[in-house]
Amino acid sequence: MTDQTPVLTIESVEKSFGTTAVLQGVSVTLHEGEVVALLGASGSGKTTLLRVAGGLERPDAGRITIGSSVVFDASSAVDIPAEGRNLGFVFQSYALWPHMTVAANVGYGLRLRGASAADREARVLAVLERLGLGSLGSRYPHQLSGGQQQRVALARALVYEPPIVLLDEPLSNLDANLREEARAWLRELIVTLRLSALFVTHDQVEALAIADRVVLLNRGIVEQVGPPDSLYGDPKSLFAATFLGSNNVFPVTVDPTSRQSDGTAMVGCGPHRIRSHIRSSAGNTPASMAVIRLERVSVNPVLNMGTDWTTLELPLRTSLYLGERWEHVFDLHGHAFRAWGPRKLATGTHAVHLPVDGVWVF
Amino acid sequence: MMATIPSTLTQPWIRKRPFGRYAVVATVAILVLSPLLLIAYQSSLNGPFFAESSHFDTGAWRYVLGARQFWRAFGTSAIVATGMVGIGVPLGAVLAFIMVRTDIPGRRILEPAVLIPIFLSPIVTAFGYVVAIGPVGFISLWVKSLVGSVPWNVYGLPSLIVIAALTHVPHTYLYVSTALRSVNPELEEAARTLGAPPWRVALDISLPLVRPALLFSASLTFLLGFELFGLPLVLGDPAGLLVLTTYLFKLTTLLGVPSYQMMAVVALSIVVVTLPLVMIQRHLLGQASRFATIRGRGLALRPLKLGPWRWVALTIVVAWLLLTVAVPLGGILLRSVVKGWGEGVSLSRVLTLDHFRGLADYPNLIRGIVNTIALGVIGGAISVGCYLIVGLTQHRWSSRGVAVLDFMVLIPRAIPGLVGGLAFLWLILFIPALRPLRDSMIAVWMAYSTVWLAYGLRLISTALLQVGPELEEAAQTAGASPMRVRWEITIPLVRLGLIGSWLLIFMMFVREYSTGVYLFGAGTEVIGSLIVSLWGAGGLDLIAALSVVSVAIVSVALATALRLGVRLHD
Repeated sequence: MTDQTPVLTIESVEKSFGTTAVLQGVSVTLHEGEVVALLGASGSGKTTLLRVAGGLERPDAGRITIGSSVVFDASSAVDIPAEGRNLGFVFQSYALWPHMTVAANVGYGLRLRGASAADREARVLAVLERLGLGSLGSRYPHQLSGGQQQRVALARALVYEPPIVLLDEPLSNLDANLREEARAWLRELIVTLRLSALFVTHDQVEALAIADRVVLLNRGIVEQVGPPDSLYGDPKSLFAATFLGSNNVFPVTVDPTSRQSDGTAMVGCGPHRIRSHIRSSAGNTPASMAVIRLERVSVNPVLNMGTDWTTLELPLRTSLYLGERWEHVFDLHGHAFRAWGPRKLATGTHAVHLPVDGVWVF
Repeated sequence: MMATIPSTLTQPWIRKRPFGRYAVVATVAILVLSPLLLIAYQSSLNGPFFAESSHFDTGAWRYVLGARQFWRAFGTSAIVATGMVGIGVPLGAVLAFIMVRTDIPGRRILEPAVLIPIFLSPIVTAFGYVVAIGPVGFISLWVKSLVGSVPWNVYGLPSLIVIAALTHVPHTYLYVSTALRSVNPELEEAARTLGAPPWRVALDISLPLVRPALLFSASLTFLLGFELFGLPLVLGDPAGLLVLTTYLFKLTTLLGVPSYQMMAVVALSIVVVTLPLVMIQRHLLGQASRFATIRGRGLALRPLKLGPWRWVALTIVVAWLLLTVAVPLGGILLRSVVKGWGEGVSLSRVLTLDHFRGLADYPNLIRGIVNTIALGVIGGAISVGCYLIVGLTQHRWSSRGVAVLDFMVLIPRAIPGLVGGLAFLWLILFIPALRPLRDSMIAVWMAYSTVWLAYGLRLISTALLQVGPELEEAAQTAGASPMRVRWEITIPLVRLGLIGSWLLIFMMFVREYSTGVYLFGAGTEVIGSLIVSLWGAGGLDLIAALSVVSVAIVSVALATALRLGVRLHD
């Protein structure tokens, strides 16, 4: 699906606002036909990185290349302004101009590129049709719903067929139920139009669902890059492991003598002994953190347990009803230990099973 | 055991009808409407309203509306106002865009400087232009020594239009820059990502987005054009050019006898033009606030980089400042320290401080300075107190009374100071109980406070709007009566805003000149009206000295305001 021609290369970009270093040497590559998500908490620098790529923010150091041309290079003082980068940029607020109709908003980029009125009209209509907005060209932005506004913003950025589209939190202004629909729609659109897209999100589900690759940012540093499944299933750091999914995190001590060639070792948490995967060098120090995703924990399973499992007898503190499932909170040596189950549990102690490859120690 | 808390609040909790509020509405209505109604009444009589023999008659209307001079003045006013809009509004919009949206060098210093003309008395500015670029002005003679003649004439219609336009640029600047600041920067960034260079962003996005502010500025400038008095008196009158206000002022001289009914007709015909303008502005302002887009996250926005063009932008701003502030102020300052000026006079020979010493020889001038300061400091404080009462009356009150009050407050904006002063003089003559106020500063203060009611009230309500409603509701739910909420919560919270308002009102009262013209008498002199009357008598030396004193007083207040961080506009 993606070939390996880079269309956007960001190299060692640094950016500070006053004394706050927002980007501390970030490198990201976007290949042709690829969708990359910049994922991170607020303050991770993801929006700044997108604005730097778009030319709306000037980095302090680094190099940015679009296609084969360098658009920013701190060492040679190249800085092509936003209007010279020929990108599509979709703003979080959509930034639709209230004094222009939908068609005028969408056609503005074509007007700047000197397209004839007839050509403009045809192409605006085509893109509006493609995005399901065919009849709305003569409306004004405030007459549209949030979802329609979002699609107009997208149409405006796509109409002149830029090689790259940058999207800032494209779905965050939509209602929760609309967002799930828009997720699938956006992914499908990007793939069928064979767009190269870089988008910012703080929503991990959005990142995992839409992107081919996810760049996880943490305080201005790239924490991990990879396809969604490897990021979720094979995190390289405690931050990456805990940022995604719903997790139990608890302190453990590693027993170095129990280490085996397959990377597993026994760890202790109070009286409990758990066989787990040592994920990083952190495992060499005795005091570490163990992480297990909630969906990997099973309570009183009917399966016949083999050696790949650790079974703990844990007292139940409380149970919460979440609708499609229950969340049970157990007591693990003073720490809350959560698990999901299909039904309510009786009070008392229950058998909690942890798969060895599901317990990661960092 | 806990201390016992009284189970009932100390005061009986009965919802009373807000009589206090209605009383304020009624007072404002009387204060605003009675001068106007008196003028209207007078305009339909055949003699002074206080004369027994006067009776209803349309003669004054027929006479004035049939007078060619009236229509010529009316036409001149319209031309001046239109010219001011044509020159001043585009220039103000350009200045606002440069100052708010670009990386012009030295913005910190330029920003407050741009507002200076608002605080300068027009009569002082006009006089400054005469002594700087008049026929024998400092700059004129210097240019003449270089090129052999003076290539301009400060008197007459073209220069009046240009000078009036230049000095009224800050009004457009204020409203357009405020509107530009509230535009979501993402709207401009979106255009840039689509490929628009800075000047296209300005033309296609920023300025159309602030169209309501532009329209508002245009109608405001047009209104101010009709209310213009000091500039046409100084720059137009010597060339035989009359506008409506100067026509009104000169009417007694023109007719040879004081004619109350004619003055009333002319005064009313000015209001007939200005009142609809004020109504249009009210409508536009409502639209402007609807148009305002919510600002994005508090991003540090990158101002448009102008590159080498920033020096062009700087030249535009500095050239305007030189022409509008430096030339007239420099003229006055220089004129106040020289004995006389003419061709071949060397500066070092004529330097003198005699004019300032001369002020002391005239008790009425000294009294005028003292009166001006007292009117600003004491009168200004009382006015702010009154505006606060009106502001609190409107504050969080949903009633038809608010709409009435809103409307009443607008009316003084349509009344030029000259007409307002005249109306108050008549009011004092008309109502026997007020007659002792004649020749007292109280009459002057009343006229000033009413003329500046809309301005002052806007300052107060801006401050009151900053108070979060939950702060007041918290006190109310704790059991405080509405009065106590205002006294113990609202007013302490707007303390700083009140001090700022006081400073701004002080400056406006010192700067004001036309309102006092008709209330001018022994004991009620203020600097502004003294300059107007000295201008008639040709006392240039004393005018220069008085002007410098007036500018100095305003400068001290302006410096204090900037120091305290008072916002110079809403």
